[in-house]
Amino acid sequence: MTDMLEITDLSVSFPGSGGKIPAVRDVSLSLAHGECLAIVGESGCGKSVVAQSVMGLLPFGTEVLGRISYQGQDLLHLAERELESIRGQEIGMVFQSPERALNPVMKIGKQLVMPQVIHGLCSETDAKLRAEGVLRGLGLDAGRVMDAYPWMCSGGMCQRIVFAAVSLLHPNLVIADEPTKGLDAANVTDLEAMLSTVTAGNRTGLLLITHDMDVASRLSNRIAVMYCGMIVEEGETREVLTSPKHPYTRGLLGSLPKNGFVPIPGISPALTDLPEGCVFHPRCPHAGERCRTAVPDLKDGVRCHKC
Amino acid sequence: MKFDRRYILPGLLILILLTVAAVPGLFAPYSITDRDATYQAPGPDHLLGTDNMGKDIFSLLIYGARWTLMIGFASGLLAVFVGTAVGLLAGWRKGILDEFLMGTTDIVLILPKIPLVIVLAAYLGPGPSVLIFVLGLLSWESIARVVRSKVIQIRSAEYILAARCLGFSDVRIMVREILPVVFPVIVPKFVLVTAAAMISEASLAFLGLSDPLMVSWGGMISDAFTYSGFLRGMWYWWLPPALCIILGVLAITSLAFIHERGVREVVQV
Amino acid sequence: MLILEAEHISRSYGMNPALNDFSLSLSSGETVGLTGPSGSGKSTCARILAGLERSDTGSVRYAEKTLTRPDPGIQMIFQDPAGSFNPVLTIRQSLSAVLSLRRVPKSDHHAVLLAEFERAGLQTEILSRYPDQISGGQAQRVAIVRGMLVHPRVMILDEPTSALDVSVQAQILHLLKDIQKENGVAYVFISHDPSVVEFMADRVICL
Repeated sequence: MTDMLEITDLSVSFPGSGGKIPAVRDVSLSLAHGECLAIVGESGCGKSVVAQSVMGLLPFGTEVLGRISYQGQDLLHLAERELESIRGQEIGMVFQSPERALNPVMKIGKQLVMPQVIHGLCSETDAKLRAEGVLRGLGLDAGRVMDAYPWMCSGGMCQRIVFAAVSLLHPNLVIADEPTKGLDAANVTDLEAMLSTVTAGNRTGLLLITHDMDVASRLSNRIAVMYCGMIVEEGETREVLTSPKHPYTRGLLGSLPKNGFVPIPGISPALTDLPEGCVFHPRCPHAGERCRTAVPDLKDGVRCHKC
Repeated sequence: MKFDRRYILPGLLILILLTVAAVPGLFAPYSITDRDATYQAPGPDHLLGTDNMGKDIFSLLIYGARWTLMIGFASGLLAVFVGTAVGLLAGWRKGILDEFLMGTTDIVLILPKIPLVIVLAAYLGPGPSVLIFVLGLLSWESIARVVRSKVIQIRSAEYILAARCLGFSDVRIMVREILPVVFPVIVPKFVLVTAAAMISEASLAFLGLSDPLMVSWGGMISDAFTYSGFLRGMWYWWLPPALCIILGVLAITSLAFIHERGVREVVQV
Repeated sequence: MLILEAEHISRSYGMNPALNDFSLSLSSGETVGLTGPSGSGKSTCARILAGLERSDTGSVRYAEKTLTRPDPGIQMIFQDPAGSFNPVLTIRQSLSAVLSLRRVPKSDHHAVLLAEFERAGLQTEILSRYPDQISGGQAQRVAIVRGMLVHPRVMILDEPTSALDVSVQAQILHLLKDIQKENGVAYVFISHDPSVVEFMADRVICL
């Protein structure tokens, strides 16, 4: 199987008042058809920036280095017009907080039909039929939902509608950015069930951005753990979960409810004030002399001097 | 915060007007009591000629800035003070007080301003303090409405709830927590009310409803009209004060618009 | 010792009942968990217990007196950490105001804040920042510090970690446990996440 998405040496920095702010450094990732890759890390670690780079949604003035190749095309060097045709149709995105992802003054029917027509997938009548079909498939009363406004729907319903909007365009790649944050348990289960259908046909890839190892463990084939803009560990999900190597990965797993909420000591440094050497060494129980001076390389899926 | 270049031109204009208004003696070649031959054309002695009383028009123009600006800003301040107080109280307290205050606001809103000002100015006498009070007390209603809706919007914000839990008094919450957040919407309102008051003052003066001893730009246009300045084609008598009013009002309103746009940009980020 | 007591409180908004016949008793130093799906009235309950909102029926008693308005003895922590601070004030200004309210002399403010920040594991640079310039975890710690400045006997925590990362959540939960061990403050801990409530609470009420 060939990789549809290949990110090579991606570095992203934002302009800041005190110099450039390195949000992402040397990130390389790949994703094959029908695979789910989870990028896991705390807020501010750069995981969402990776997703925004792929979608070409970074704010103006951002410095991006490296290569993002999607089915052979370099996304970083495409014109805005070409990106527009890729967004939605080729790459779909599920955002955090579904209520805010829908336009509050437009009927849901229109929001589901218009994208299909704009991308030239089918006629308006067909688009309506397809939308109703997908909504019914997600257990919604299609007739009523199509005619409703987003504020008339509950959070759980909005979530399904957003998912319907994404899947109607049959994208090759779906990016889900913190889709479970702030949802209650029932909605999380619901969303996970929907997301797991994305990769089922072995055609579509899923890039899952999350802070929650639990969610990642249930959905993904592979996990990349990010800390302060760098990948610190990457590997098969089963392997990362059962035998985590990097101390930060172990810390994240320990923070989970089922492992007793054991916190990692200290807090993530600000991106403007990153420590020398290994970025994790101030919080690491095993840090030695070399960790304080030299940045470790990513070797066998781990970026650590000690493992 | 980065300095916005669009502020330079209107800011500079207002600065000049304010300086002139503060120390007119420095800029005016004559005092307003000095008299010379009447109806002179512009010349080296009198830059803009003299009026029907033989007073130097250029000097009048400079002394006129003082009253026009003072009446504008003073009634603007008064309107902001009343409007903000009413808006804060009505938005925070809700209930009967809110209904009473908003009812009053609606009454002020539907009052026909200019006719009322004319009647009041005629009855109460044309002094500057009367003008300031009348203009100020008739233009706070839009400020009260804006402030109230903003207060209602933030009164259930978590930081206000937290302040109530911590035991801060109502007055303290209104003045120290809510007012700073509402302030950005008050500033452009203040400026617009000020500009409107300057125009109203000019209109009243033109109608002859101002203190004859008080030199203002509107009064100058009125004098030119009454004492045949228009008939004699003395454009240098009425055009400069008219231009001053237009420039002053434009400078002040554009400041408000630029400020408002800036605030929106910040909010959107 | 019984400190907070709610008896048969109900509240409805228009025709929609938000809370129906809810009772609770809370003793010093204990944690009662409150859980339930969204829309089950958890937040309404929190606001009534904090005295921020009246109930339609029933009453809340704090320290043997009926609660009619917020009391500094009951503090509340909210879900949105940055939203708990006035956006136009720096963190130092927000916290100093609380110290002034408690009549701590102005010259002691800095020292008090340094000590409190040290205890909560916060860097002092945060003091000069605005709420939107600090991370969610930092803001929530500062909110907890601010609440503790008035020495409350009850703290009502309304989804305090729902907006935070799993790893930061663990840190906040432990900070709360440490504070309770030290001060004997009682918690009403509200969360939609049963595992978090189970970890924190001595008793759990399901709404």
